[in-house]
Amino acid sequence: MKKENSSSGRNLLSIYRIKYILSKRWVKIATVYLMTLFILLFINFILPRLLPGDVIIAMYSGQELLITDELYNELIVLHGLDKPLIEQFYTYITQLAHGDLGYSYVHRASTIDLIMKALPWTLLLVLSSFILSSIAGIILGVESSWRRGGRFDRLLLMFLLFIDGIPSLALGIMFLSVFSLYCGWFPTAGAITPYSDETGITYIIDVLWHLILPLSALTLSQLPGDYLLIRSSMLLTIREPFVLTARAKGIKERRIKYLHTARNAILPFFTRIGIRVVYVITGVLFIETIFAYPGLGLLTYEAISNRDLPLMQGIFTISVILVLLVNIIVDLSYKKIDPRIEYA
Amino acid sequence: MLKFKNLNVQYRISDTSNASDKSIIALDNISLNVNKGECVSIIGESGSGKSTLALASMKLLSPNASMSGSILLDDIDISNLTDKEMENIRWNKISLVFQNYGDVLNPVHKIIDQIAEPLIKNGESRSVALDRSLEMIDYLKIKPGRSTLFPHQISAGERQRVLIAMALITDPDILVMDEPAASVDAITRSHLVNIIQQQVKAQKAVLMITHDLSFATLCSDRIVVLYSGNIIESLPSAELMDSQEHPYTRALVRSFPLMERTKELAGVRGIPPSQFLENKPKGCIFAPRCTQSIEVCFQKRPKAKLKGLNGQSEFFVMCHRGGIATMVSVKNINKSYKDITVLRNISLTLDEGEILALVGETGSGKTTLAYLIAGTIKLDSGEILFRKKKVEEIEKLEFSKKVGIIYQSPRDSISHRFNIFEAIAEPLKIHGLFNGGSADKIEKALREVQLPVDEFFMKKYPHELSGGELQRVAIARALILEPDLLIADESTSFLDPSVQAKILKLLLDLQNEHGISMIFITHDIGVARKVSDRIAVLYNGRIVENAPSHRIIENPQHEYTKFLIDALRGSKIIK
Repeated sequence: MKKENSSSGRNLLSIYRIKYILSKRWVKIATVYLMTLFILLFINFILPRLLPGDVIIAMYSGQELLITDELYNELIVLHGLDKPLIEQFYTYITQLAHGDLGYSYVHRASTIDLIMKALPWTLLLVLSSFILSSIAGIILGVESSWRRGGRFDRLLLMFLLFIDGIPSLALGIMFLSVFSLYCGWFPTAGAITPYSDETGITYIIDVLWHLILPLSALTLSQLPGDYLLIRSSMLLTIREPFVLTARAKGIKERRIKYLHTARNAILPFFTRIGIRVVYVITGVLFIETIFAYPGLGLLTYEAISNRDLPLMQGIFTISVILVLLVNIIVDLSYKKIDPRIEYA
Repeated sequence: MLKFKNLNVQYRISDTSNASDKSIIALDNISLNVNKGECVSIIGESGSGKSTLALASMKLLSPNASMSGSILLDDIDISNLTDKEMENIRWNKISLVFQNYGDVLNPVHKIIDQIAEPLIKNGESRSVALDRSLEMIDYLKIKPGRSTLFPHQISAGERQRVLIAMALITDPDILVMDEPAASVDAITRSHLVNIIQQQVKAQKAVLMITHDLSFATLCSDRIVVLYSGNIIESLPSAELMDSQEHPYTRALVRSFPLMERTKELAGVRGIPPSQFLENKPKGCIFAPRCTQSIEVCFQKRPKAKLKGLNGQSEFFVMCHRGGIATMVSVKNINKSYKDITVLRNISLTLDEGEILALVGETGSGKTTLAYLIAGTIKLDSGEILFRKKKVEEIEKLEFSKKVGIIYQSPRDSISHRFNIFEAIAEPLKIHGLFNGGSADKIEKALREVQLPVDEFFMKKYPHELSGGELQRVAIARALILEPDLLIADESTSFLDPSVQAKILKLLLDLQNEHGISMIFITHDIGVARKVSDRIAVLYNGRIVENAPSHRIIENPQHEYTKFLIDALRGSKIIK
């Protein structure tokens, strides 16, 4: 193998070298993710072009604009739609690489600006709900499985199965009508009080006050899934021999429960995070719309109802990147969580 | 000190066929003491309740287990303690080396953390605990550098030693070990023997559960045999291999691949009993598989028969017949044909379920001795007892039913006028047992000796069969009356080696499955060592040596025996 390598001169990218580089773990991961990203971007690029009907008409139909033949042709040229598909894709990718996600004619603003304005609110909502439902799901699931068949376990299981049956949409509407409209404890819309110009601690309180309802609705819609997963995973793990070993060693019950049992039971939960992110994103679409929370979800809703194609494409691109990022983080940290995994 | 007193453990299992629950008996009235500075081994087949006993000693039985009786750890009765109260006793007073299977160690924690954990629980600082754990890892000869690995990254043998290190870390007074040597190689195993002996010397009470009989004899002072949740024998470990008293213990020893063993291995015959509470037998639990069960064995439970001169209570055997019974005992017999003395002052015994080989050169009196035992010829003086009755006093026809003989040459012993079916049916007809069911019986007998059962074969005549086939017919004929004693007189010596090997294997299997005793007459000590439990060497009408086969082969005492073995090895050419 070596001989051949030297005979091919200083060709650094000989087939063996490529094989060697590809065998490295991070290179493997990066290649897989880059390919996934590329495929998704291509789908994102091609989908609007495959939609039935005319792109230009679809794009501008929401606006009161008379599209004459002349204007139509102009728009075609403006958007580069007269060029070959490959060239269009090349332009799309280069623009994307420069952070140019297009221009929303509905909002009359650059798509990236719109998204960047909405993204922090969504991240706040999604991350805090994610953390809350994970912690609550793990604790409730662990405690519930530990008391399997007891009253606590049965009641909690029943309650959360009931919650699981309610769509997040209905949950949001219920929260809104009870706590905002009927009791008047929380605001009905927005992420901050308009024109209040609060700063410092009062600003944070204002944000939290607006956050509570959408956050609770979103968390509650995620919680049953987390709880059920942890509970069933715990019920299997409790039977593992190492739990008996831990009990034999006379270790305190709480330590056995969390350090020995739950530590192993969260492994499938952790694997599922990548998939769950997608559910949270769809969940947030409804919740933000109901609570008029100015995040990505609301923006998507608006984009869809206004047929704002560039904005929709932009949101899709950002979502894809976010989901892939989360998956990369999960992949890279999985070895830390489960030492038995050599390659994620 | 660890003490079990009338311990009963049952498991409830739900029966899916009908909604009721069933109970299985795991341990049935177990009483056992393990004193300080003593190692007691529990041996028995899997499913005998060994691991249940280990778990019970720490009150770690699964929730579907119900327990009665008491378990004393240094006079503390733990049977009524709560889990919370047990937390302090576990791993401080008593610790357990778990059986090494599956994820017995937590897969996501480093092994050193798992070893150190009990120390940290006891309030030791983390650094001290880790140092002590490293010492322990070193003591068990786990390679340095393995300590920071995870359980899946070390070998099974190393995991086993990690489990032992974990048990020793808190230096408890009582150690329970469940199969500690099952997954280690022979060299590590002998290191473990050392470690266990050191623990015993340090005045610890060690209860060891193992199916490795030689490991048990090396480590322990006393061996307790568990069968289907019952203790059936307790004996000093030195007696396990050669002078066990319970038929089950003997069967276990016979199935164990001991280094010096020469005989083919044989499993315990039959299948383990049902453990369902509803099927609990009235009599001895081992009776259905026993080689010597009599009527009383099926009717009531045996009482412990204490062993030893002063009847020490810790050594006993649970058997109605007081342990392995003697089937044939030959006392000081003499036999001569006219003035030629053939047998002089012969004494020997044959146990129930035992294979005795009579070895000697042609003309040494082997066949005469066998025929005397079978009662076909009369003896001059002395006596032969068959199950405590004089042979000549037993009714002839009755006795011939109990003793089956396979002769040297089947061509001579089977009449050439009989076809195969008739030849095998003859003994049944003589005893008036031939009836409608006999055809099935003959078919079964032929199947047992691995011969075809079609009509074409059954109608063949002896001259149409090969020597090997005909010898099989002779075996089927000898076994058709279900005898208790089978005498095989040079019955394989004229066969070629391949056929001989097959016939020997067949004989051994049948002897084991039927649980009968056998006298195997041969001039070939090489064959004798492969088939017999004991060898008696006949020379000039006297028995010059009579001992367990492996002793005779390893360490022959008499010159003639040495000569026989050497002659067979070809190392000495007779001049």
